[in-house]
Amino acid sequence: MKKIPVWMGNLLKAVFFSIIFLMLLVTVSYILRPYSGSASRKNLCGFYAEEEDSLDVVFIGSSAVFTFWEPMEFWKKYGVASYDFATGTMPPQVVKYCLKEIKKTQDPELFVIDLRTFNAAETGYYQDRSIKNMDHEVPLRNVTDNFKYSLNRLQMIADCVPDTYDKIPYYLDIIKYHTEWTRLKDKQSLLFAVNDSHDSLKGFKFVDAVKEVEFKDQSKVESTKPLSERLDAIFYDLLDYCKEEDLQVLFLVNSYCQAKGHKETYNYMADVIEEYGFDFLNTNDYYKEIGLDYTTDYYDQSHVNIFGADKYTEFLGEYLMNHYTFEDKRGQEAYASWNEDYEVWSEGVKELKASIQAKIDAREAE
Amino acid sequence: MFLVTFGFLVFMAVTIAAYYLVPGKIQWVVLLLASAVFYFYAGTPYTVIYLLVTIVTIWAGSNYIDKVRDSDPGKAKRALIATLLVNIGILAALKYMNFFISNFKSICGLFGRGQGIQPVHWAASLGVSFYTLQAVSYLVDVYWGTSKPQKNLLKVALFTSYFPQMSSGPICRYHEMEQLYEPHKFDYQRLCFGMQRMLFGFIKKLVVAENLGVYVNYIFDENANYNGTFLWLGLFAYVVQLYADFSGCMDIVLGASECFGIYMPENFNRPFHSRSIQEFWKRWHITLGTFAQDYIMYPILRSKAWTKMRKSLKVKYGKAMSKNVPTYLAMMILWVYIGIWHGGAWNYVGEGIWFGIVVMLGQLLDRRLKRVMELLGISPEARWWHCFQSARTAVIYGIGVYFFRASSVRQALHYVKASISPRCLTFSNFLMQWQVFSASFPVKEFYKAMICVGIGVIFMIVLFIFQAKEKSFYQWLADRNLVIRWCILYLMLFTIILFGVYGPEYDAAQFIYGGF
Repeated sequence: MKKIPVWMGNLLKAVFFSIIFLMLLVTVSYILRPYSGSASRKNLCGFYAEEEDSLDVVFIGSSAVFTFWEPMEFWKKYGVASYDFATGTMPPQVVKYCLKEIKKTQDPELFVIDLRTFNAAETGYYQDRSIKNMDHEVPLRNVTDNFKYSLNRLQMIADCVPDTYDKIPYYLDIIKYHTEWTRLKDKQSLLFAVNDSHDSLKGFKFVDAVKEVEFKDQSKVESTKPLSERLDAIFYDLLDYCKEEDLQVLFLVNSYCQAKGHKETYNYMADVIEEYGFDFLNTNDYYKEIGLDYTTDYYDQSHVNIFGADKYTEFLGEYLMNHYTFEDKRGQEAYASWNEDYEVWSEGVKELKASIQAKIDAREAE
Repeated sequence: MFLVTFGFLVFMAVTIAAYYLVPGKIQWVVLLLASAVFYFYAGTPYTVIYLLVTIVTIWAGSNYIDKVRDSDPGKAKRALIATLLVNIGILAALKYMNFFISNFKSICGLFGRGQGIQPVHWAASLGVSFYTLQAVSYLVDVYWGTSKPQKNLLKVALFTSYFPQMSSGPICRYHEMEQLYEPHKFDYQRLCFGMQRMLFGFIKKLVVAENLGVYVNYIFDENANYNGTFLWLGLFAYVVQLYADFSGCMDIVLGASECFGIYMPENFNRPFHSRSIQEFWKRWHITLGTFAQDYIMYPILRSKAWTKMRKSLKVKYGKAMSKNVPTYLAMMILWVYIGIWHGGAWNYVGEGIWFGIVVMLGQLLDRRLKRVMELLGISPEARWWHCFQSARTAVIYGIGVYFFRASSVRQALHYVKASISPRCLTFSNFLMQWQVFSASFPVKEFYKAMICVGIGVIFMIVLFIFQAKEKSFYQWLADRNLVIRWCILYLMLFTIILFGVYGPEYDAAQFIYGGF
């Protein structure tokens, strides 16, 4: 047998050494990513853990998705597999890359895109409120630090993280999180070693809280207000992408305490969406049909609790079943785990409802 | 600091690739271009003018000196002095102008004047303290005829600005660096050794020095007012930090240079193994010590003034005095120079004087100490005696470090006083100070940092053991089988990645010696 030349041997050694190093680096990096209290990490890692081509509907967006849409209740009622691919205050510019990421492993019948992310983009919720949400590190990292390492992720960071930032710690997030090495002995962190970890709630987040909120009916507002130039460009780019890829998309606004200006923006977006031939639904216009109780069904001005989510999911589920065609997959061997997940879900819901009900009772007793 | 950035690693990868891809004859051009790029990124670009002046003057000066040295020694001497004045003038202006100004202002103040005198804000060029000394040694070597001048201006430019040495030295002699212009074939093992040495440098700098730095800064904060045992602990931590920082930087620099097949002189040789402070300075910042010895102390001792002094002392006070006084005086000049080389401030002068006094006392008392040892039956070769001497040397060095760390002589003297005051050395005082210290930041973070330091120190000890046995760790590693070798390398890499201080919250700390 011919002997490998020395230079070739050295080259091979260097290549293998580098490959193993990169594999170790990626694994350690996934383990060190913060998970504590982060719905974003749970949701995205849960998505990666789903069987390939198993989802029928994927919701994309912010907390307005993962506190509203109950995939397990939809499954129970209609046998349709859905998932909340949602991160806290998701910046609108990343939605296109989320679609690309989802399409790598799933081929859903329908994508549901939350438009509230556009209205939240240019205000500031975090520490320094002068920084817009769409440019703030926290919402950006909620997405970038939970994607698997890939070309799509690199592209997303290159395009979506402001150029004034040092992007290297975004590309290689271990640079930011390496000081958290104690997580290497944490069993829960180790579950995320390959950046996927099964989520029985399918992206939903339990929030144990209740608050009486003030509702303003804006359903009669018909005037429009255009988006800012920057958001408009992002919006059109997203629509172009959906068109190019021939995706079936429903653009959605969840039910919340909507301001007049927000409603006007959605009216503007609705017109553009219609021009593109996609579907649009502002559920705020159907608050009576949904039957939301503003004294018990919310936990803040913008988010429903489990009681509100139940009503919302029932309404939207029926809407989806009436407007789109899905196969009932209950009873199929491949979806056996969904029934097991429902057991986990319903146990959790039971406890959560009892806890929130106790809070409501206590409030009423005061 | 550019040396510990991701950008530097990319820069090195590109430079190494280019270096070995071009023909051997023009490899030095790649290094010159890389040095220019390095200066642009790591330094203040407009200060390159000072570097250019140095390059042009030493190139022209050295060639002129060589041309006229034999035919007209007077002209050669005048050319040498003129070139030295230009270069030392630039160094003095950039580094010591404010020192001169503040002292001048203080003197004027005695006469009620000088209120309008303000400090200047001139940016120094990167590595000015290092490359100026190289330039001086090159010129003097040419003048002495021990080195041939380099005819090619660009090659002189490379000798002066070779990028690995630009941030913290070492201070190289021209004859040591002629290898810069030689072709170097690609050598896989040499490249591996160079990169492995860089890894050790990163461990020392990022894992040990930077983790310690946070707490050392806290203890030595002028408002913190720590004393006694706590201050000793702080001093110990600072000495470890200083060693890890500077020797780590040298490992990165020498390792980077080794990747190109260029071996620069060592700057450290287990300094804490030294039995005396004199030996210590032969093992710590070696190239500065040998420079000061060869180009300052010996020329002074050989000078006409010193010969004259020796003669007159011999007549008046005898042989011993005529030998000791000029030598100790020259030594004191050397030590003050070493002190002030670190910066224009009286505390650096104080540091130099402290070491000068200790070395002189050591030499003066040497015979008497040996006699005492004989009487007590202590063998100089006994291991415990060596340990005692090393510990004593470290403490003496530590006191000098107080001057180095302080912002003024007064502050340094305060540290010394606060360290040795008996009422500050009680256990209850230590506990009280620990309470103040631990209340200032999360103790969990402190323990985490100390674990990181401990892990980094293990690597330093391993290296120390190999050095003590005069064996190469890198060769030992190369002789292991692939699995063991790779496991050790991954261990080193992940030690840096996990326990190093870097990233968005890291205020890219300078190498301590990078500021000189």
